[in-house]
Amino acid sequence: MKKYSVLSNFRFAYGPVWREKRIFIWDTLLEIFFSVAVPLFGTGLSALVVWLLGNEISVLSLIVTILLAFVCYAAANALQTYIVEKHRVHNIEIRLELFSHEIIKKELAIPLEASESSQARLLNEKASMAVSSNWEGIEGYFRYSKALGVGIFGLVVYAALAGTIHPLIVVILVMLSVISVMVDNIPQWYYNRIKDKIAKDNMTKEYIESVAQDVPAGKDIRVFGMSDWIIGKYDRAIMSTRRLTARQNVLAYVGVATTVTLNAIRDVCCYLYLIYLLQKGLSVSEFVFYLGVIAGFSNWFNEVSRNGVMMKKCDSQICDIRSYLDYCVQDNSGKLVPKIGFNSIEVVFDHVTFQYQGTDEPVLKDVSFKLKAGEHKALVGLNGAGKSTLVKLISGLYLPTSGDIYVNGINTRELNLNEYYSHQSAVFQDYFITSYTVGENIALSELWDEDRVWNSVKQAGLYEVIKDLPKGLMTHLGKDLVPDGVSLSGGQIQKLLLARALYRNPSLILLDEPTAALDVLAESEIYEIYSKVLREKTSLFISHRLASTRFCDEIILLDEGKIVEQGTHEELMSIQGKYSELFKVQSRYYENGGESDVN
Amino acid sequence: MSIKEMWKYLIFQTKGYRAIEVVIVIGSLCGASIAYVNSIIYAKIIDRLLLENYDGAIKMTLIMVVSIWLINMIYWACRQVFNQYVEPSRDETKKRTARKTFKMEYEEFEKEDTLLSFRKLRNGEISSGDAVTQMTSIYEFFEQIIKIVFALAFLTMLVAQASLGKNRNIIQTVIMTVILVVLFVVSFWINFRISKKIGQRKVLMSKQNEKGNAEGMYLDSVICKESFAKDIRLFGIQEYLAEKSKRGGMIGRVFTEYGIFIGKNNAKFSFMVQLLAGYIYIYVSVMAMSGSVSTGEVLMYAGAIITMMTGVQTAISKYNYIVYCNEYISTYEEFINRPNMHYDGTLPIEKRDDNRYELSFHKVSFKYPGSDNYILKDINLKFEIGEKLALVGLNGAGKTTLVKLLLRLYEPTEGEIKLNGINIEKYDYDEYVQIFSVVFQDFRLFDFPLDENIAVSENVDTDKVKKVIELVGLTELVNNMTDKEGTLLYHENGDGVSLSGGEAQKVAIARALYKDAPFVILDEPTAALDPVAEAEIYERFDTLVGGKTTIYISHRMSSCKFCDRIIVISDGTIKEEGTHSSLIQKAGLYAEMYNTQAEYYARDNH
Repeated sequence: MKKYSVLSNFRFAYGPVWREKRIFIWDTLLEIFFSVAVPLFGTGLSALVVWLLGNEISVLSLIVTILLAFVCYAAANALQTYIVEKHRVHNIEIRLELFSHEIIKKELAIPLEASESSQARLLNEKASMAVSSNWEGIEGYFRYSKALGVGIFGLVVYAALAGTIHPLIVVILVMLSVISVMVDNIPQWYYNRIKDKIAKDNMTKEYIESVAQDVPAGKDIRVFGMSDWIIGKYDRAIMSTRRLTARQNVLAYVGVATTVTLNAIRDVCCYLYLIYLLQKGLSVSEFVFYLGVIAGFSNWFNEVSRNGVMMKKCDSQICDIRSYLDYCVQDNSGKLVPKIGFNSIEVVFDHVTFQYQGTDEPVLKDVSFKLKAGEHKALVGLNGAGKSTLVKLISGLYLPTSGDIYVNGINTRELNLNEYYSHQSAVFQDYFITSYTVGENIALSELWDEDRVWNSVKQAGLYEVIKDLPKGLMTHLGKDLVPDGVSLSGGQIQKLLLARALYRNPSLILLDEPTAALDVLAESEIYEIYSKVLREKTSLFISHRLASTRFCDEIILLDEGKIVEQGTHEELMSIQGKYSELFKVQSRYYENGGESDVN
Repeated sequence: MSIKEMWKYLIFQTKGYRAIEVVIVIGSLCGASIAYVNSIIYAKIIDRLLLENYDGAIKMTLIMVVSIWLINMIYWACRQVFNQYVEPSRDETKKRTARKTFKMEYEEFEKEDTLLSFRKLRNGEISSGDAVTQMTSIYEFFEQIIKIVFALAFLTMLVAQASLGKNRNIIQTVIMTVILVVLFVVSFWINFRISKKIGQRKVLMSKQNEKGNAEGMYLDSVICKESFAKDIRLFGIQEYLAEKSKRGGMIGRVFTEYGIFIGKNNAKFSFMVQLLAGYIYIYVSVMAMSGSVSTGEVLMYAGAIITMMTGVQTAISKYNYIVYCNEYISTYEEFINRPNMHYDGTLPIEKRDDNRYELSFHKVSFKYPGSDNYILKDINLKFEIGEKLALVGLNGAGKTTLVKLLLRLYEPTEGEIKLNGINIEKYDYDEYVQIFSVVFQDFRLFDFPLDENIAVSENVDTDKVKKVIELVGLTELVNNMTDKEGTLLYHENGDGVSLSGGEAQKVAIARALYKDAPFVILDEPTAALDPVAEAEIYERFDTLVGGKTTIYISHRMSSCKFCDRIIVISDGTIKEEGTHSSLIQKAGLYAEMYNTQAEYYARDNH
């Protein structure tokens, strides 16, 4: 992983803020100033009162002086309160608008193959963590860097003041503070030792909570009487955490007790020394003031050490954000568009091999074939034969590990892929539907052409259904976003996906087992529609149900990453190879059944 | 929430651990007294110093340091004990919630509302804090209350000292005390109004946030979903989604506005409080000038009164927070206190070696409450012992509902279902389900070890597990796993292994076989399998279930042929009934469905 310097991280965090939300930085500086000035002012006030009472002044001037001082103090206090409250939540806006959004954009911009790698997923997970919490990552960085600023400023001011009593006082104060910080870290140290175990317990707990929300799981749990088994696991996790935290609590107490004791020692020393100075001519009001300074000192010191540690953690999370943003940056310039455009699409595979990163064996081995313009091709094969990978290669979502793929004569490595994508449509088995409106789901845009949408809906045979929805095209799907969303049946969803594919008016349509979840009648209805509307488009249809490919011109049989047979249904049946064997397995249950019984 | 209720809540959540009461009382007493003990003795030190009585001052200093040290030690001890007993209550609450979802009426659980309210609970917890923060708030609230009581005692002492002192100036004292009281009342009135205003604003903000959050979380789930990545790129909708997400991110401004609002109001309040503090100094100083109180006592009384004011402020905001949290925590409690399955009886199931469990439907109808559409209507059906029965029908015909009724996941709207002549609702539910082995279409395996998944318990009969693994044909796969039968499944609960759809289905079948119940239900067990694996399962089917009563649900007609009897369900009623050949001859719905599927293969039959 690339190393990012502390300074460059600081610039990475504060740079965009300086450019776009500068007020945030002014607020930070003001807050740092006031956070030190106000308590110092407060300490000064009690000293002032003692001083005033020690001097023979009139009641009136006493009242006026105190009143004036307190009006100033109250004003400073009010200003500080205002800035602190505003700044506290302003962090959220900064994080969401300047950083979270960048991660989302990045996630959408990474090419598919790279995005599926475990490295990308890990980077994404870390970067997402770093932009989604109030007290970690980027927002934590802002909060802790401010707090660190307060601590450092306070420490400097207070050390300077305490130094005027005696330099040794500062030394003693620092030493006591260092010890106390070290002791304070014992429970943290212990926590680091047990945190993996606690994380494991938490993982179990969270997992069981997610099971509790899983509706289908509810059936298994009831029918198999699994409640005791699962809840037992939860109980075990609670007990385990409890034992671990018990020790941590004891250690925490040791830490606190040490700090309390050290404070007591510090107080004895300082009081005694100041009393000694009083005998040498120090005034009581100075005594009061200095005691305040000494009591405040360790506070600033703790601030510095605590926030320094937190800053370090957040700093490494900034590195996480930056590594993700720098990962696999795409350069789209100089990419080609075929001369004949994409109005008709022809795809040629030339000895294509494809292997997923981190696996031992290629999924596709030396695959060559041609998908001619306007042709309907079927791709069949068992699960795991490499069918879906092949679709992703055709569409340009993956690039071959070796060999070449040509789209209208241009190698996909040099092709302007975004342009190519915009001329194809795909329907995958694990279909993509959002809970936004029907119209948005068809047009995949917030601005849609109503006539075109209706037209696609009609062609897909969904007109009656959509027309009868309460809000027509404006009806939401599912209840994730609005309470009055509707759910569509499997067949209706397939038609919706078809309408979406048609809305784009593509030159190439890829269908990856779209009907696997449908029942017979719905499936056959969808086939009818497909064979009607796809007439002029180049299309590739994938299935493991061989019978469903009958509206295709040619069939490719894929087995263990290789094309083993290719031709029309009749041709493949006549050669008595793998295809005909598979076909027989599947049709066996129909062979001596239906037809013969009826006839 | 009254103080009594808060107390009860604490005791309930810590499961009546008696010492916790003592800990809370002593802890909050100590926490409240630290500041006062400090200022009382500090005043005495200052007074001695002013009189140049240095030995006295040193003695007082030592007394002060030791007593503060002691109180602190006790205070923190209480605090740690409190933490130790409070922390698990967060998980206990969640555990009870999870158990409730396992035990409540399935029909109720399945409802979208239930899941929404459950999800809301979890989200609410994130934004408003959980049982632990609630209890900590209550504890701290008690501490503040005691602080205020102490301060009131100081105030009474001060007034008494001022009016009974030897140099008293009654008129001056009265006037200044009246002004003090008026200022107090005014400042608290302002505080009260401000916290009310802030409370209203907070509710508004939470609502905006909740709505924005829901959409934001949804959008994130869309953007992060792995299977969507290809569609997003292929359809080029990055901009479309990014734009939505950006708009969602604007929710941050709601917070900023809220922050500015809070800032302005709290600033007003803290200005008031500091002016009041100034007046208190004046008040006490004037007393000091007339000799009623000493200079040290000026600091003491002023400190005490200021402590009280911040105490009141903290107490009010803690109280508001507690009430706010309570609303959400009570929804938790409400959820946990929902009734368990009421559709439950007490009869045990007669253990029979001959497996003669006879189930029958008598005029059973079912519709969802509040709906007019019958999912099933007037079903009469008898499951013959040892029979293999196929239930076929289009999606949504009511096949699965029938099974859910049989398993008492749903309760019939009309009619009754009988087991050996007795209405099934009379039986104890846990006993009743023991006679069923079920593989649902959307079955679930859990992220626990493989053998526990099969045995659904931590007590695993290893030989039996091995046997069923062998039966479903997974032995080779299992032997290649690192921990054999003990291998953890999936990744959500540790680093386990993934199973393909087909393998998972085999495990689910193994689980059903392990249970070895007399009544087997298979709900489209081959849907996720490819043709070869499908054929394999079909061939083993007979050996797998043996002579048990079996219900087989499918929309693939081909899989019904080996069944003794086929029931065709359509529009919630039994449309056809018979063997494969008799139904084909009848040329009804079954024949139509069969032929549609067979047609695809027909062109090759000759």
